[in-house]
Amino acid sequence: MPGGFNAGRVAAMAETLAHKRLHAAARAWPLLARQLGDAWAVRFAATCAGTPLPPHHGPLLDGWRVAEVLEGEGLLGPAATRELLGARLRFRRGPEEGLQPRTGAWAWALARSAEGRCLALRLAGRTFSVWLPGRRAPSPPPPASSPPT
Amino acid sequence: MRLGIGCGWRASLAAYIQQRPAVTFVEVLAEDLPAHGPLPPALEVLRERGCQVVVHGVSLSLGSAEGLDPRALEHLCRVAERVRAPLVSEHVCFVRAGGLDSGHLLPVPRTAASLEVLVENVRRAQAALPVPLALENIASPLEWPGAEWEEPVFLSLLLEQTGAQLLLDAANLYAQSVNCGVDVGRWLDAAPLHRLAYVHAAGGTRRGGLYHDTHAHPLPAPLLPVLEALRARREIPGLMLERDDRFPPAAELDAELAQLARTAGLPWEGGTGEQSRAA
Repeated sequence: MPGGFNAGRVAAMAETLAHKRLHAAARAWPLLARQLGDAWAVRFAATCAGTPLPPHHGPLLDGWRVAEVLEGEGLLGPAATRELLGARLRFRRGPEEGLQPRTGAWAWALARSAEGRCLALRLAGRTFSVWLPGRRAPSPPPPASSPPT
Repeated sequence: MRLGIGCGWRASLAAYIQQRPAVTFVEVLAEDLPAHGPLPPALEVLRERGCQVVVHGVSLSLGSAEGLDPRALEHLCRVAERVRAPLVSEHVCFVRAGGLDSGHLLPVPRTAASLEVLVENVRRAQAALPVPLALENIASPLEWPGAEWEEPVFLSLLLEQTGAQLLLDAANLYAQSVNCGVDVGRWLDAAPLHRLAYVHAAGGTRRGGLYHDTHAHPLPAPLLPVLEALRARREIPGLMLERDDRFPPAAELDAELAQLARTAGLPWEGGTGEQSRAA
């Protein structure tokens, strides 16, 4: 650190920036953040902490990376899958990891969730989605509480 | 130009603001609105009823030595045109450097070299924008070493050389008084208040020994004396509440807006149309 700076204040500022980045991505990806709950911060740190905030569409791209990690692990829930599809219908990954708006009259996107693959189509301003054959039954929800042992 | 009592327009507050004709202006974030395609219908309704829409930018990075991002400037101009804004505002800060984006408003060194960069960038923005530009003081617990001027003097020099107006964020000034020991009265005495366009007020919280201007908490009681000190020196032409998260019930927002209006000496006719008629 260059001389003359207050180290404690620099650390506080770094914490503020990290906190703001985390919450900005959660606001851009509310369904994904809701799926992960308390694990959101851990997942986010594991995926994004080592990379700088992208200069354009930063929160969107940050959350996108987290969603793709879950997609790769087959852990993306149905709601977060639709959120990822929505992002893929609006943007494509451009050069240098940026996002380019998809301005065409139509677009399609595919995503893999915990329950199978989902295909989405944007046409004439409307979005359609269909689960492809082979969709697995949704996992049963966990019990609300465990009985005392 | 008299703006009156306003509110930061957020999608979560659209219905609340629409039902409050006493809100005479809103401030939209340029980055939240598209440069093309339809605008939010709720915003169109506000414009039709005569509510002024000020455009506020957070990503122009006027303090960047590498110059302005032409895309960010073009977007700001386009949004200002689309909502027929009477005014555009931005911050005295930088958010980009060396190809990196901070995602947060960061302080500039208060030096002659930094002032030169700001003046050049502000002039370039003014040349492109269709309406006047107002510049806002930020809150930062971190300061660059080697400051050549106090913040209000630095702001005066910047506004004098560019002709820009002042957006005074009273909550940021309060944060600076808590975190950096700034004397509010002395700050206001040295600030370019004759260029005052409007004022921000927002809530925050103390965390880790510092006051954070979160825009997600109620207005702190000590903010009101800051506004009173400002009003004692200069008429307040417009005052608005910034609330970005943890949105409270409508009654709580009404109470905060009414309190701000009283403090600033601005009309607040009961908030909702129903209450106005009942009165």
